[in-house]
Amino acid sequence: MNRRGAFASALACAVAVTSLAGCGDSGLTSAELFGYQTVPESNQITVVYGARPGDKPGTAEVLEQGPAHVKVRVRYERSNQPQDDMLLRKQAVATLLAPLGERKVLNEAGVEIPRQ
Amino acid sequence: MTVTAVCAALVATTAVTAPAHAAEAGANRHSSGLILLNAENVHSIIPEALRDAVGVYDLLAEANPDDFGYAYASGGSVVVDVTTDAGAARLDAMRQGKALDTPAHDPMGKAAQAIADSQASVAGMPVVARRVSASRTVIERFKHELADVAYADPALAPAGIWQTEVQRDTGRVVVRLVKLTEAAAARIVELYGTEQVAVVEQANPDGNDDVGRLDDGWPFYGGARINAPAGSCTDAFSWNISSGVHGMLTAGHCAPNGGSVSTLHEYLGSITSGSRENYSSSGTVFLPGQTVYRGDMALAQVTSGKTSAARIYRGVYNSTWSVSVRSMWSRRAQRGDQYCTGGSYSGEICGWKVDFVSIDRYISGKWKRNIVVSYYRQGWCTRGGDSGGAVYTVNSDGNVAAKGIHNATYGGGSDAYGGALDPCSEVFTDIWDAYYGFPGTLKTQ
Repeated sequence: MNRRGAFASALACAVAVTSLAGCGDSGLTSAELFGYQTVPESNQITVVYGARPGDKPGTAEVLEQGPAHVKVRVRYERSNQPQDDMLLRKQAVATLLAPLGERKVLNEAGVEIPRQ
Repeated sequence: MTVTAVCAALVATTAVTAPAHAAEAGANRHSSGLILLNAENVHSIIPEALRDAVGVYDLLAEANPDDFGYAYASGGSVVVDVTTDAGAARLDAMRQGKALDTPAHDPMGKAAQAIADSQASVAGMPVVARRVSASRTVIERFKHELADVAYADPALAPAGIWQTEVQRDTGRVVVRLVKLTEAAAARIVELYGTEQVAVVEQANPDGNDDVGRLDDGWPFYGGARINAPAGSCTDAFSWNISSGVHGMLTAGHCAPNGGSVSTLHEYLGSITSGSRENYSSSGTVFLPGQTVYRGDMALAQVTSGKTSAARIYRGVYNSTWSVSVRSMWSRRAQRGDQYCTGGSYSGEICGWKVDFVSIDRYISGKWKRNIVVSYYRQGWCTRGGDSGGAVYTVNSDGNVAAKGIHNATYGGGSDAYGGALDPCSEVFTDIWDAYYGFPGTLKTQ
């Protein structure tokens, strides 16, 4: 198969997968964040997020950390099994370079989330 | 010459053309032809010296709404819109300090008394009669009709109409709305033309933007996000528990041990464990005294002093658009029925089709019993947090008929978008189970 043929095959495969499995299916779902908790002098931040009962445990990630704010997200693997469609409050922990202090905590979209 | 004829002649001689209202002179036109007004220019200030006289003449007009339009101040005079000769005669008598008779619509005689008491104070005041064609009765009816269709008409609902009022010196109904969409403008013109209505684009100062699925306040509507004892959920439909006792439906698994329910805005009420929910560690259980399993449902009792209303939010997850709940479905769900879900995380999703009714299904480690299931829908699935949301069908007027309470989902993969390999499924409790299982009935309007 020449290079053009391989590219066409890959493209066709990608289109087929997208249409069969839905668009933009990256494998992980970004969670709704309800808030966060910290302990003074600790670099750890506990992010409270929502996921359904059977969704896999989430992983907290620090996307940005500057003098005024830190930006976090939690991603998890969404279960494809039948699920009660409510959001349970779950927790995931991330580590900052320094204690949070007075900095704000933002979600992926840049919206501040509350301390709990 | 009769008194009426004299008065008619008097009216004719004193009649003026419609005063050039500031808003009229400076009015802009929307591309649809509708008149656009600034919020500040809708009504003129009434000079203090004329205020009592305007008030008294307006009392006369209000008591004889078929014979008059409105009273207002213009050019240093009181202007009274008159539609009939009888009205002209009454106005003339009033102007001369002699009320003709008891007004037509004054059952307690209070207007007559007020008019009589004010005869002396308005006698001699400069008054101009203006002949108009539309009576107060007609204009008031028109004003209320616009309010009626504001959220019942799918083309008007997204515009967020929040006030209708009469601009007295033009006799137009002024509609204040959040956003004049092209569809809403076209619909208003279609219904009422371009001259009877004027529009003011203005945010609702009472906070219309602050209510919606994500910030519902009382009277509570269905389809709003709630903080329930077990997690974040959505509520479904308002319920009449008994006279003066208001309720709100949601899913049982949102409060399997009962407890408090709040919207994101305020406290809603509480769910009594056992009697107002039918869910436990094993799944569906019987409600007290019953021998039929009834899906997965809960009924919150709205706290004293607050109410719920026969409306649900439709539209996207953060929609502020609500519609009336017209009825409960006339029968239980049957295979092939199409319907919509309304959750506070996924918003409205339509195109579901019932595949199974009255089945028991193992979900999240528990048995849901006598539930309804829809399989194999491609497109957006419901999401976590939609539990307890409204399941309904949409009438041709945009209002809804209640069909059930959303419970569960699967499929859609990580992006909650169902393709051919991972189509969405949806599980709900039939609204008839709430009817049979809980005290009271669905709120409708």
